[in-house]
Amino acid sequence: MYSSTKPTLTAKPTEIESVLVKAHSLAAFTNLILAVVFGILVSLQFVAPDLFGSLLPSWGRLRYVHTQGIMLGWLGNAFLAFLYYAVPILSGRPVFNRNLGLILFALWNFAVMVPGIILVLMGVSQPLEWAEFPLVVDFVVIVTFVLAAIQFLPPFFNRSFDNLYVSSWYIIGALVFTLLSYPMGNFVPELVPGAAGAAFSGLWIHDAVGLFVTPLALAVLYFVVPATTGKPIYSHFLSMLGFWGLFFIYPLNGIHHYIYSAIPMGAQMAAILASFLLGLIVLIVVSNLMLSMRGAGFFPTDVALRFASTGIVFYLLVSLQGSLQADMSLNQLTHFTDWVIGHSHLAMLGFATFAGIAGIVHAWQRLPQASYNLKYLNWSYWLLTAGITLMVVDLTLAGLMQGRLWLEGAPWIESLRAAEPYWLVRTLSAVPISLGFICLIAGLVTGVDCHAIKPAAAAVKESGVSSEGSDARLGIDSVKPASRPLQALQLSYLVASVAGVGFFVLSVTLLGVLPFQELRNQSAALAPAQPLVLSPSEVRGKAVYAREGCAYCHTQQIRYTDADMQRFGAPSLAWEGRMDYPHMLGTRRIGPDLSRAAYTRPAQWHLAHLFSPRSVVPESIMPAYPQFFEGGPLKPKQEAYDLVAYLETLGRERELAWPEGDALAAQKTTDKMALMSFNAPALNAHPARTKRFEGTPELPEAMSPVLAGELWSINCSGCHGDQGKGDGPAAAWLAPKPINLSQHEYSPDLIADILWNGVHGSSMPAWRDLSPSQLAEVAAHVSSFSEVESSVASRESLQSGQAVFKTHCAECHGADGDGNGFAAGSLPIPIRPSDFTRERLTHAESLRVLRSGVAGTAMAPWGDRLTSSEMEAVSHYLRSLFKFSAGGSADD
Amino acid sequence: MISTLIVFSSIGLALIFSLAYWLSPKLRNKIEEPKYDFMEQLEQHNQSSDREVNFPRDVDDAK
Repeated sequence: MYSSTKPTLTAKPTEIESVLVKAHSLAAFTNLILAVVFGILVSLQFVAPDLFGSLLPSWGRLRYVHTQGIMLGWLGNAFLAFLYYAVPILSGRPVFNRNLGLILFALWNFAVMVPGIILVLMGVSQPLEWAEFPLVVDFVVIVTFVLAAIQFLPPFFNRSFDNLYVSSWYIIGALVFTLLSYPMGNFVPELVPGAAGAAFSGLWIHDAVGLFVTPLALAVLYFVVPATTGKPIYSHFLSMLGFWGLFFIYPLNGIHHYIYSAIPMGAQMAAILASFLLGLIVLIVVSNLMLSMRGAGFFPTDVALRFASTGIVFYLLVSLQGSLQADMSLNQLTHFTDWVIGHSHLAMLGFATFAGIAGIVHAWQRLPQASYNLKYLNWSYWLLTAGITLMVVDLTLAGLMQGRLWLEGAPWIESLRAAEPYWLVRTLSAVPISLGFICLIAGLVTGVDCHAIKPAAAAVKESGVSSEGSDARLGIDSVKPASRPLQALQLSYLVASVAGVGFFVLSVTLLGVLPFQELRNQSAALAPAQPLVLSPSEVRGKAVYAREGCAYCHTQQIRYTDADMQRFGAPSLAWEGRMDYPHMLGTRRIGPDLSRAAYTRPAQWHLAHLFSPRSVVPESIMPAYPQFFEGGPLKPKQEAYDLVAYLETLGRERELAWPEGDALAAQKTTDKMALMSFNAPALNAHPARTKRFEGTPELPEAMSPVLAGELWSINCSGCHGDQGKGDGPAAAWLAPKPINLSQHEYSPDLIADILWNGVHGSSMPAWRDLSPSQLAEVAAHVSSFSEVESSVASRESLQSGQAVFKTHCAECHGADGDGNGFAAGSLPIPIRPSDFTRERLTHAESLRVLRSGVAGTAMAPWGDRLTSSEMEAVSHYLRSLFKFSAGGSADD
Repeated sequence: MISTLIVFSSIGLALIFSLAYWLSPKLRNKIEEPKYDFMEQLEQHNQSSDREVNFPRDVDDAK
């Protein structure tokens, strides 16, 4: 069974399907350019969110195409190109069938990539990281992987386990394990909801890199390095140690993408432990590869080897980074930041792309009728190295800065402002990267045809390897292998192969199935008895949320960390996402978490914000969705209504049951994480939330008009306008309209109250993430707008006004005009009546309000029920009630 | 925890493998053999090809 056969010298070369090598290479380049273009469009919208208007599909759809374009389009084709070159050499046999190769090429590019991209841009997709193509395309992907296995595995069947070179092992492992993990990552989250589904997603996110991309990249490196240096790798033992280590340990890592989530902590800790061990394994692999390149220099002359060398360095950096960021302390800082984006680019654009390029260039150099332009290839190397290094360093620094601001509790908008220069640099890094890829393509389609006839004998001298076999092997005695070590080795490899598959199944069980069962039991115990079923509109809204990639900017998982609890509220329990197929946990926070979005902003605010985010939040970079409206936010289409309806469901179920629901559930569990959530200081700690009224802090004296102006511009001008006249860009879309502050005067304590607690029922949010000193500056700025004149009225006028007030107004505004009338708490619109002891309008504004009412509030027009003289009198009376400070009298 | 068992089992297997490699020259030969076979395969492939790979190795060659 385990004959130690080797390919023998034949008269004919091992047949390499050069046409397919070239075809897949060119397809790889085409997909690469497309994916890079989409990536540039995505990154441009960080620095100029309104640049393209509604010309392009939404940001989320572009992002989906970018990710899949890189993984399946570029890397998938690049590795296939390399396999067509390498497998015949490694196995001594041609690939299974040329026609099968043509079918595989056609399916991969025209049944996977083309329809996948088109469908995603049309809004048919899955909101799952690295699994964005829709299910219908996923089925075809699996067929192509099966075909790839048929194409590339049989040539190895003639060789025994013990005789396989490490590249062969990696190729076999990649094809087998990707077939196992792809369905898990793409189908299971559609069947398993919420946090449990996220566990499987996390496994796939890592398996996509660790069991598909990394093995094929390492297969390339282990091939190209010895093939170009002319020396065997330093140690096949170390390479096999690395191989088995990677395949045993990689599947255990996935949950480290959801540290501090509701996924059971046991699963998280297992992933963290595996992540640290993976770093050690990578050190072994990289050391072996580096030692194999000894003598070639840090920047080898051979371009393929140079790409390979730098790819190895990237591999070391990204793996050590990955191990470090699994540490819970660092994870708390970096999770959801641009650090993660830098990490993924270092992996896919750095390590994997450089390995892929090394494989293509190496193969291309040896194909008949293949062009080769060394100058362009050199430029390609330097431009790509510089561009990727710039991007990764920039994003890593951005991530650290963002994480620090979040941990410090800074207002969210500050993290966006602080990240702007980093995002600009990231976009600029696309210049060398794009040029590098263009030079790469030019380097392989222009230049000389680099082949000529040569005598066979010269080949022996050039390579330095004798065809005699083991006599030339340095340092190892040339002995016939004895039967016992041979059998032991063969048996150990067979056992390891079975163990590898077994460990994969075990890892899915441990880190997917068991957490799912645990979370399901927990949900059954702690969730409300009857789930709050979504209405058809809310279901449609969730689909809009998924297809537009909202989960790629907004998470729906409040982590079990102090910072998250302070900023967002009680950590998310697993049952809160039990109706989400697939989950919407998210892996990035460009905008804030939305787990508790319900009851935080009024619907009008959401509609205005969706139509024109920067009208409401001037420094937001959220994409606009004008396509959901018929010209403006006052004319929303069904999609806008549906999306807002969905947002209003986020956190609603738990809030409706709170506090009794949480108290009851807390009695049923001893799970520490669940109890942490139940005992959190607030269920919903969103800083803008107006529903809870808290004691207003004492505001210090304002000191800086410049800061005040800046804070006003960032936070307030979108609604209230630059001059506080209630004419901001969003004003026309909101009811009640933002106050024209020039027509109002407030007591300092009322301004502080309004800023700290917002105006419940209106679009005026609370501003609890601004510090008291910042609020003091804003309060001073608000006061500076006021043009309210002093009250001057005769005693008769005041008495007449008081009589009218008591007859018509006191039931809402209170007998003393303090806004506490007996009807105040039961108005159909929850905005409380004005407290005229702390608020004064200009006479003209008073008359206008009396005549016309205030749209969006319970203040009805009185123009047809009061005479002009009555309204004049009431206005004078109301203005006479104002006390600038508590205990003061009117007109103090 | 079974995952911890997997991790430490992997470490244990690696140590056993390393120990066997260190102690047995014959096993060592066998484990290292594929890397030489690969070089031979490359050589056979290059030899049996009737074309020489003669791409420019530095910019001066390309002129």
